Amino acid sequence: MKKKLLALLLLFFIGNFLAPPVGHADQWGVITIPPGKPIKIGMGTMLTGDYASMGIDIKHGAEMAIEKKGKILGHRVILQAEDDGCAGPPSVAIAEKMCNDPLVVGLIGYMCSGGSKPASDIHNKYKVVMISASSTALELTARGIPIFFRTCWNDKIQARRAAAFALSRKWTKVVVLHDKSDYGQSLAEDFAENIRQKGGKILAMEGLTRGDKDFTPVLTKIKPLRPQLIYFGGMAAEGVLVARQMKRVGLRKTHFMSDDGCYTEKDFIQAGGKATNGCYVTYAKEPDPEWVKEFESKYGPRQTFSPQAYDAATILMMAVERVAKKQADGTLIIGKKALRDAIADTKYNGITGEIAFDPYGDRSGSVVVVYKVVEEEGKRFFKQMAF
Amino acid sequence: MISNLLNPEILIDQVINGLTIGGIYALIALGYTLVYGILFMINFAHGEIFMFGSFGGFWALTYFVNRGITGNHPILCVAVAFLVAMVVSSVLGALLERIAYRPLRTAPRLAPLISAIGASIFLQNVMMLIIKARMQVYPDIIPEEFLEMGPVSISYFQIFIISGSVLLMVGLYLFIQKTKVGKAMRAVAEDREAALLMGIDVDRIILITFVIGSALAAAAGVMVGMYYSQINHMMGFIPGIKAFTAAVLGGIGNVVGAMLGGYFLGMAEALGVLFMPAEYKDVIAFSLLVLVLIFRPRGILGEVVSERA
Amino acid sequence: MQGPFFKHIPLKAYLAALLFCLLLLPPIVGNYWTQVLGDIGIYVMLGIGLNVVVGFAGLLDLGYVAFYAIGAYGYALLASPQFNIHIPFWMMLPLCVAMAAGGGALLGIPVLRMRGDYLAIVTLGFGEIIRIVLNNLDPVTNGPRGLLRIDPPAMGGFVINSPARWYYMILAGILFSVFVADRLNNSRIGRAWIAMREDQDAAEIMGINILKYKLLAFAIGASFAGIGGAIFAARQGSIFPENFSLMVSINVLCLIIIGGMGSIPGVILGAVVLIGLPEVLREVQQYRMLAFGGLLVAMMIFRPTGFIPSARRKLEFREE
Repeated sequence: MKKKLLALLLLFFIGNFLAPPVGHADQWGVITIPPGKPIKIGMGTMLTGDYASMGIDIKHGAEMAIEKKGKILGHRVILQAEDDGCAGPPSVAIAEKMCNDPLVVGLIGYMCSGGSKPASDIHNKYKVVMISASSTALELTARGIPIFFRTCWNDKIQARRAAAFALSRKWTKVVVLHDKSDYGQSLAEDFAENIRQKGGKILAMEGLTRGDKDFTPVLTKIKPLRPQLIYFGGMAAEGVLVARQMKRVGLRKTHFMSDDGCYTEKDFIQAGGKATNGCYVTYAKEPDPEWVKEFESKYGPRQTFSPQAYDAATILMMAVERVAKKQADGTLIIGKKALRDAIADTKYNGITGEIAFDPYGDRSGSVVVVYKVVEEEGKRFFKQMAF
Repeated sequence: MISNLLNPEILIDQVINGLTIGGIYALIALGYTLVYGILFMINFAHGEIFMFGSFGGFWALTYFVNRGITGNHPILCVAVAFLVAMVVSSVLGALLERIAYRPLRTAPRLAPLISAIGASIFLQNVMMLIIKARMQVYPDIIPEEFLEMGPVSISYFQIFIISGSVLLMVGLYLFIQKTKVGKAMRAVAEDREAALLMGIDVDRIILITFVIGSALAAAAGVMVGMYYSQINHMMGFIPGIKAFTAAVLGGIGNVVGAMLGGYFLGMAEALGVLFMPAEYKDVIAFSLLVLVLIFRPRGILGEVVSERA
Repeated sequence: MQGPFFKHIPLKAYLAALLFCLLLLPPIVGNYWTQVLGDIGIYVMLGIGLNVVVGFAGLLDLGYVAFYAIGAYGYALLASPQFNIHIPFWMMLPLCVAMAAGGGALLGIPVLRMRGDYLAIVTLGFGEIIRIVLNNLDPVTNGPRGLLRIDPPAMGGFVINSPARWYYMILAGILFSVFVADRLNNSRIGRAWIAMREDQDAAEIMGINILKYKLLAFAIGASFAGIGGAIFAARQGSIFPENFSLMVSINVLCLIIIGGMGSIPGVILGAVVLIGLPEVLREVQQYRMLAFGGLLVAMMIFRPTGFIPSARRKLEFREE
């Protein structure tokens, strides 16, 4: 046993010498793309499992942007998408994979905040930039990690805007539901906070279980409270069931409002049938119809975050183009700090609206838009509300 | 919230909600219990059989809608959808038994469990690739109507699920008690080797058991699809776990117990919400399970027999 | 264990050579695979622990993740900015073991009378209860938003924060666990477990205190998960209730059965296959879990007793 212990001690000393190397030309080191090699854009998103459709949609958005761009300074751009399972351990493993790949310039992702939080620490260690299209947790940007950006907004921005809309309609007796996830609960709590501050009343706040199908028990429970509005923080899978079952238990006069997780034609409007008429959701600016047409002809009906992923990939590629220095033999030298600064400086009119980043990496350009599900001329769709 | 308990209207509503949820759990739980009664194995992929059944019905209904024949014969279309779903699930259940479980009949006890878990993951992903991971929407061919009885209103779907599941269960019970095949099933469950000696084709009986369990799960699948309207490849996981819980609660291997367990769990979920915040719903359900098993370690109707882990 | 040609080479020499190879791995395979090896390593520790409960004592436990969660949250709550308590990792380690063992005993008491699949479902429920409570106790655990900025272990100025350093740390943990498990298996306690597993009633008649040995199995099995959880939390730096889902318990159970129940080399091989395989299958992207599920079925059909079944168990199963 003594020998083993000795060996172990030795090992820790070996470990000491394995610290990551430090670069020279750029403060954070450089990425070198040799001639003939592609520029890789990493991606961490959910490709199998519950929310795979959302993850694949994100992948398609980025894929389309990259195909459109074609080449940067003579180098092919390829997307390397990995299944992050919407969770910590796989996201961290992917982060190690991407950050140690010499051809990866940056990453789009991770899909869920639960993956982005631990993975951003790894990215920060190697100083490889990441732009998430869908991680909305406040802590991600509040931590002061310089390499994290996102093209969606954080929960606070969306909740504040949704609450302002509700109050403008004089809906002051509100029940708040959420799916007990990082995303849904943060939104719901921020929403409730905003309502309370402005003199509204939160009658009840309840957590649902993701993956459940029957929410009639909890809706029956809140029925006698006679709320004017039910706000739901979460995804379409559960949101649409809440909207439908509200009608079922007899909450017929209560309004329903939800977040960008419910902004999906197929999973919300179609799945909910007529019960979703009159429901409100918040989302970014409606993407350009031409873009939607092009996207849908390629990949089928779009879901939620593909435009954000498209913008994220475009911003990353623009920044690479700006800072990459082409050598005589075609080698690209990309300074990591320079790349990060270029992204931070972004002023870009994306398909989800004006995009610029505040010092924390949050979006500062665009405003949250409120939509209502309406039925006009036999068609049911999200109609933008004047607000 | 205690005032809710004193409100008869809310209480009646919750009981109806509980019976609806419980009926579905019970139908799925029967599949677990039937297989367990004969093979002593947990068919972990049963939730996926339920999921495939739901899709079988979905495909049938979508086909009818595209043909434009749902308007004239909505009831007939639904009946055919149930039939298609049952066929899909039964074939799948039989295949599963042949491919993944039969080779393991003499293997150590936990080997079939792992094989079932593998099959479950495999089937989830097969469906994910078929539907490209998108949520699918059940065609709304029968509009939802409500039966108004004073302050209480019940959806006809709820009435259909509650009565449909009871009918199927009564049918199963009679089948097991009265028919020759049912008698053979009971014999195999009692003692497989003795049944073999009595001239019962054990392989056939096991296959039939899988087929029946799968068909019941398929019925539950179509009901879920019609009632909740949206289905996807992961829809079998949670009901699978809950139904398994229900089966154990009632005394696994016991057919009546599985039904009781299903209703018990459904009611616990519906009524539990009145006492506690909704996010503790599953905590209530599982705590009740532990409590029941502490006092009756073999489930509500389970028999006391010595058995090894 | 020993092949016919190498009979004269002692087993210890093989193990030493294997260990030496393992020590050299991180610089050769790079950071990504070192990270994956670390993940596998944590599962090896979990596997060794669950193997005590399922493999040695024959108690089917589907809620093993609860103890992993207790270890992880125990460490994270007392070594993060959450309450501004920063107890050093090395002091927390025994505490996490104690907490997990306590949890194990606590679970053990109500389920003492249950057998087989009843036990399985109650432990499954216990695992779910722990996860849901962690997710709902927002003031303490931060709920689904998780605990962030968990302290990494440090010795003086030396901080364990890179995949390679963690690899060695986890390797040390595995060596320790293997040592303990091996000793247990060949001890009086281990033999009592086997007797209990093979026939509880007969064992009781022979004077084995079933109550005590069942509780011991749960507590000792859980303590491995306690260590694993603390390592997991410190290594990932942030933890979320969703990291402790039922799938973790199922994975650990799968890996000990694939490896060969009751055998420690089996557990290690099982973890390498079960946790390593999905990483290798990343190449096939969306088909990844499909292939994984199919392979799981195939493995069971072709090797129902697992890759390296325990020698003792092999003899026992001949009767069945």
